[in-house]
Amino acid sequence: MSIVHRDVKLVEKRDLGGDIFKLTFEAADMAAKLEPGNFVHIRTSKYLDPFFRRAMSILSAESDRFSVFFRVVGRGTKLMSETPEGELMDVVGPLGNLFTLPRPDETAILVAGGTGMPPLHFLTRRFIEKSIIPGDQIVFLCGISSSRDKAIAEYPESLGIRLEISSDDGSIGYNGFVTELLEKELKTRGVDKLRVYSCGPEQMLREVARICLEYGAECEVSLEGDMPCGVGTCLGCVKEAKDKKDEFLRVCKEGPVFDIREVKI
Amino acid sequence: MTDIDLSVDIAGVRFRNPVLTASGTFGYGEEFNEYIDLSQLGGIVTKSVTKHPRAGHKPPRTCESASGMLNAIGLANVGIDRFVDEKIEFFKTLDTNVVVNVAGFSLDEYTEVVQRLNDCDGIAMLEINISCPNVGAGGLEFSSSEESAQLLTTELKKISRYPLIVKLSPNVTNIAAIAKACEDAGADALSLINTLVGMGINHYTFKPQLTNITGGLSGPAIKPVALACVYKVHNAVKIPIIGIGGIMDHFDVAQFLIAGATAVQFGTANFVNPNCTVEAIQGLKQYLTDMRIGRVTDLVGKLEA
Repeated sequence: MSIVHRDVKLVEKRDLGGDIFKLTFEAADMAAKLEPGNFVHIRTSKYLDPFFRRAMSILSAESDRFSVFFRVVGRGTKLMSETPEGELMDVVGPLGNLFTLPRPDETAILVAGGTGMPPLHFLTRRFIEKSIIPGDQIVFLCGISSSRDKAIAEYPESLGIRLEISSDDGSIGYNGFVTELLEKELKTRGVDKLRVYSCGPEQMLREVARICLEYGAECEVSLEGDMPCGVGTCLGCVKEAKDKKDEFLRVCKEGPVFDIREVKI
Repeated sequence: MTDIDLSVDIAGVRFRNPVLTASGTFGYGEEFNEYIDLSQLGGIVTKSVTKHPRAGHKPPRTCESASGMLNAIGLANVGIDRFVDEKIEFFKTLDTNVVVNVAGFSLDEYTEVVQRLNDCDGIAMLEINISCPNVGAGGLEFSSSEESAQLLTTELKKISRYPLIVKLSPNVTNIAAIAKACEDAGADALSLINTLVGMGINHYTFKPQLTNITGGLSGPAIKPVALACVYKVHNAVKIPIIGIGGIMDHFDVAQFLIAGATAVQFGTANFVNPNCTVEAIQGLKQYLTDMRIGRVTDLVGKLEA
């Protein structure tokens, strides 16, 4: 995998409500190389502040463009959301590792929490487009906090697979946490020929990991980390390795996708 | 523009230009080999190597700050055994000067690492890190007094096959006095500055932003401090100075040279712009052409004050 670093054109910006934005960039060289799991590192300002790039997972990548999807949470994401269409933005990518694809006879359960949805959306689209597994072997569980975030839950709808939505306040879909939906699912169908993929807040991922370990399900999670360099040199974004004292894993290099058995979430 | 001479000499080692990468921001060069042509650089300085492998501090280890960042990595590195076994061969393939940064927690540890490196080829110089602010013992202690800096430099100079650069801390009362002590002890060059001690606090959780509580501040935020340190040290010593601290582009390089540095290291800038060094080398050529200056060394110490 060779990394591209250049200015790419922001060709479309969509304000999806609830401070959520989708940005689409025109960059055939990057789009062709991006695979589910990968992320890009985007500079939010041409100046020195905010200083770090922002790591963004990929919502979709096809032909000559790719999209990212995020909530405005601070100055960096605010600046990104204010960038006008047609502007050039400084992007590095693809970075990071990939999700393990399921075998043809396996079922994939995707467990998304809030703005952890994009990489799972990208992965699901890849399942379908490349006929990796049939649509009836895909279950997408999407948890949001309230109907304010319905843009997040609407995205996987277009995938034409079984989608179950949960909200913490019950304003849309199942009233409760998405991890409860996961546990029900595992209880009902067992863990044979099954892979769970998850991305979302750490607290949710910890619960996903706990459930999958308890039921014995294969599970990969995509993690976030405070990421200065994105390429493995600064050693800033590390997480502790599981069951190994004094061993750390770089989210940007060994991750962002980890098997739940290898990393302490 | 083709006639511009960017080369500099530090302790008899020729650098094709004054642009190096700073320790801890460039790994062992391998990761950046994918992005940029390392042979264009004056040199690379490796992540600190210590006698024993170190896992480093628990995360979070870094956080963003205004025009910069805080880090408390904790000298995470593979240790000298694996360093010699796994990294030296790669250095030999590089067409640039490799400066190995050495850290330790006692005189014995520094000595042992330097002795091991004496047996290795593919190294141009050693940079002795006496200024890491993020580890409990050793490290910074050696740069906090003239006596200890002088002792360490004297002992390592006795045994090192390679020229020694001593990397100084700004977290001291009088950096010029410590610089002079290192020069008197035989240091071949000085590099400065390491990071400034700083901290960040989350006002909702009341927790520090770094597990280590305090960390080292780097990036453009510290450039004025670094320039002042280079200027003061330049007035105190005759050995070459390598300027470090918030350097982002060729104009910053020029400023450090004017303050008295012979070369510079790009550190935190590599995280934000992996091409920063290569762009700065091109920019420096253009700047010198525009200024009608034929040799980059003509900038060194030319502050008009």
